[in-house]
This record gives sequence, structure tokens and C-alpha cells, in this order.
Amino acid sequence: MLWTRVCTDGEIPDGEGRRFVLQETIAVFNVNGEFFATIDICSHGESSLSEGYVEPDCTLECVSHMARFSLRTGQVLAPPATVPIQVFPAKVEDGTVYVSFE
Amino acid sequence: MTASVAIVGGGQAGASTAAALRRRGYSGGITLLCGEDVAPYERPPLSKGVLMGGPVVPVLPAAFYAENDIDLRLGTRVERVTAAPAGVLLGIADGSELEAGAAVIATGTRPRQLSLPGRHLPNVLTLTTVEDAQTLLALRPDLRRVVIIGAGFIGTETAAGLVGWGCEVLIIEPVPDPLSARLLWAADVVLDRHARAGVRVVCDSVSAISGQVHAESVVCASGAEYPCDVVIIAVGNVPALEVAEASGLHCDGAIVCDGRGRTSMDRVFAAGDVASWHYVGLGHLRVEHFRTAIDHADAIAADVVGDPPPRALVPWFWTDQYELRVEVAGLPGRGDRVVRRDSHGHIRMSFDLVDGVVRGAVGLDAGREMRSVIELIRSGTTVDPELLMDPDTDLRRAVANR
Repeated sequence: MLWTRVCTDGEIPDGEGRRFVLQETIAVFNVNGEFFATIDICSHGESSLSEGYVEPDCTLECVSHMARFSLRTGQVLAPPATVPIQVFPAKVEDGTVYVSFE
Repeated sequence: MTASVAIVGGGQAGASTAAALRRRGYSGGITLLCGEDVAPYERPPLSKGVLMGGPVVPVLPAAFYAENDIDLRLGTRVERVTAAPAGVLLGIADGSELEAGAAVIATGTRPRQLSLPGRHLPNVLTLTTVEDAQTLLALRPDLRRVVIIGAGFIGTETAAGLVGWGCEVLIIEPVPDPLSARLLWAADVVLDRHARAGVRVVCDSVSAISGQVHAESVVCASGAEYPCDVVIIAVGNVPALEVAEASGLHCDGAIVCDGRGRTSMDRVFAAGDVASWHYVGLGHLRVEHFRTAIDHADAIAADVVGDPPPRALVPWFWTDQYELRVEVAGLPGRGDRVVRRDSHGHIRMSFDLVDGVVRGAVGLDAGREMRSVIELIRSGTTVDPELLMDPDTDLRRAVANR
């Protein structure tokens, strides 16, 4: 798998997300030291998911209209979204967060 | 468990109820009876994104109904619901009947009408349905001067959209401080933005719409007359209570429900704009907003399948105008103490506290913080006002640590 460097793990505090423009515009989240990456645009409205509300159970709520998604699978957990969001594999190695776009 | 559910009304509340039932694992029959000839769509974009060239957004993907075994019946008007031995019986306008284990009344609202001369001229519109939006979009090439009657949310959002088309937009509103009852201080921010965009708001009341074949001008009580190419009436909505009243449900300007959407008739629920639910700490409220319809739907679905009630409901809505987003949560404007959170010398949020508990809040471009405030309102616990006021406090952490 080809990994793209995103940032250091310290750049995203626990329970928060950040937006990165790489080959896709993605949102990367830190949930208790575990990192997740999704496409940044909510599948419902045109809102940045990086601003979203992260819960300790690895779910994400879009602040725009409160749609909820699983950060692990991208699956819709609550309306008004009906379409899953794309998720990307993410990992941390030696304090660096990597994402794979493959 | 109830063998089948009939949902009366194909708006946000109706379609969301169908989806919520399936999401919660309900395997019985679901019939969704829609008065309109189009599958359920979201109404908020009609006065926002759709006017900026955006799409009409369906509540559920077109394939969802078949994939989830939901019997979607368009152009079907229900007249009444009566009690039946195994549940309820729906009388449909074409004379047919439908039996179901339970019914959900989600008939929504319709635009309030004004009894004005000229009201029925063809270029006098309301903006409630996708058909209304299409009518307005079709007029766009000929539109130079627009008069909007009413400076509520639909009126002001529409003004923001139409001024973007290059139209001259005038709003006529009898209340001297429009929007402020709901948006408080943020009303001024929104109205200033309208003024900068060139939208005129005049305080007057309309006495007639003048014109023979088409509306040509709007005449006001003050004697002022405003020429126009189109008139948009946006003076609020009234609950569509025909089905509820014909069915004998207890109504008080809305269908009166408990905190789970149960009406006065056994096995009949009501959801969305037409219903007045009981909210913990806030009392009975009819909340005419998108998110409430979704929350009602989920609470009813939980009841039908026997799940515990979802988290306490907190009313919440937003308005998008130009680049501004104002959000309102709970019931602001009724606190015994109001505190503000400023940013760079401008007010960004306000919180209404009752006995130290946040009961309502208004936020300007503060989506993340508002989400935390909803949790604060929901929890009903006291909070240190200093935390709310300090722009450097992460409200989310304040909620988590309280």
C-alpha cells in the first residue's frame, strides 16, 4: 500500500479533526490517539467534515445539519445524510500520520 | 409489534419516519402517503441553495423506497384516520381505505394566505413546494423588481437569493424589528447584510396587489406603491390540520402530543411541523424546522419498535443568508440572565440562562460551538457563565468536563 504523509500526530488534538488538501481534500481525525481519514465534504450538504463533532465511539457528526457517520466505515448513522462518506486507511508511524489513497 | 405503519404526509417528517423505522430494524409494512406528486424532498434548500442554482435534495435516494420495501404512494390524499380493531383505518380521498397497525400524521403546514385584492394574479407566489421554486426559477429571465411580503426566514432567505440574481428586492414587513423575535441580536447582523446587498426593507402593511392580468405593483396602507414583476408572499405557515381534525385528534392550533409523539388517539402519532410535542423543561412546542422533523421521526420509530426513547429533544434551526449562518437552539430570549461570547469585538453567541442552566442560545457562524450548546441544553445542568463568555474556552471541553 502506498502511504502519503499528512502531518505529525501532535497537529491534531484528541477529539478533533483537520482538513488537508492532498490528492483529495480530506479530513483527518484523532480519536484517543487513533487516526481516521475521510473525504472532507459531507455527503449531505456542502460542509467541511473536519469541523465535525467527534465522539469517543469513533462517530462523527457534521456540524452543518447533524448527519452522523462512522469514522471506521463511512457508513451513515443518522440522517439527513443517506449516502456513506469515503474513508481512507490512516496510520501513525514515528509520530507521523499517513493516509493511503489507493 | 405493530404489523404495519401508515404515514400520512410525504415531507421531511414523513419520509424520515419511514427511514427511521427501517434503521431501527422495523420489519413490518410501511406505507408512505404523499399528497404531492413528487417523492419527499428537503424544503430548506428551496429558499436557499435552489435559488443559487443548487439541486432539489431528496430526503431519501430514489432507490431507497424499493430497496427498503416502503410503499410510496404519490398524489394520495388521506381524509381521516379512525380506530379499528387491529389498529387504524385510513380513509383516502379516492374512496379507498387502508388498514394499518399504527398511523403517523405528518401533514406539515401550508403557507398562510392573505386576503388581499390581487392575491390570485399569476405572478403572486409563495415558496413552499418544489413546484413553487420551479415557477420562480422559470420567471428569472424577466425578473427585475421583486416585492416580498414578510421578512421572516423564507422572505429574507429568498431576498438574499434574488438580489444575487441582480433583482431589485423590496421586503414589506409590518413588524418594525423583523427576525429579532427569533434571532435576537443576530437579526441586526442579517438585516445589515441585506442593506449592504441592496435589499430594502420597509415597515408597512400591504393593502392590495394591483394589476389586471399580472401583478404590477403592491399598494401599502401608508399609500406607498411599489412596482414589481413578481410578488412573493412569505407571511408564515399554518399547520395542515384537516386530517387531524376530521379524525377527532386533540388539537390546539397543532396536534397535541406527549414527549414521544403520541396523540390523543391510540396508535396514532404526529410528527413535524403539524405537531406540538412536549419538551423537557420547555413545555409544549410546535417547532417548524427541519431537524425537529427528523428528531420526531426517530422518537416515533423507537416507540414503534419498542426501543427506549432517544435522547431528550432540543429544538434547533439555522438560516443561511449570503455567507452568514445563524443558528438557534432551545428557547432563547426567555432567560433570567443572558451572557455573550464575543469574537474580535463582535458578538458571536448569546446564551439565555434560567437558574444557571442554559435554556437557549443564538450563534453566528458558530456551528461547532452550537453543537456543544445543544448538549448543554439537553443536559440541563448548571454551567459557569464565565466559561460561556470566554472566547478562548473550548465549549466542547467545558461540556465534557462539567
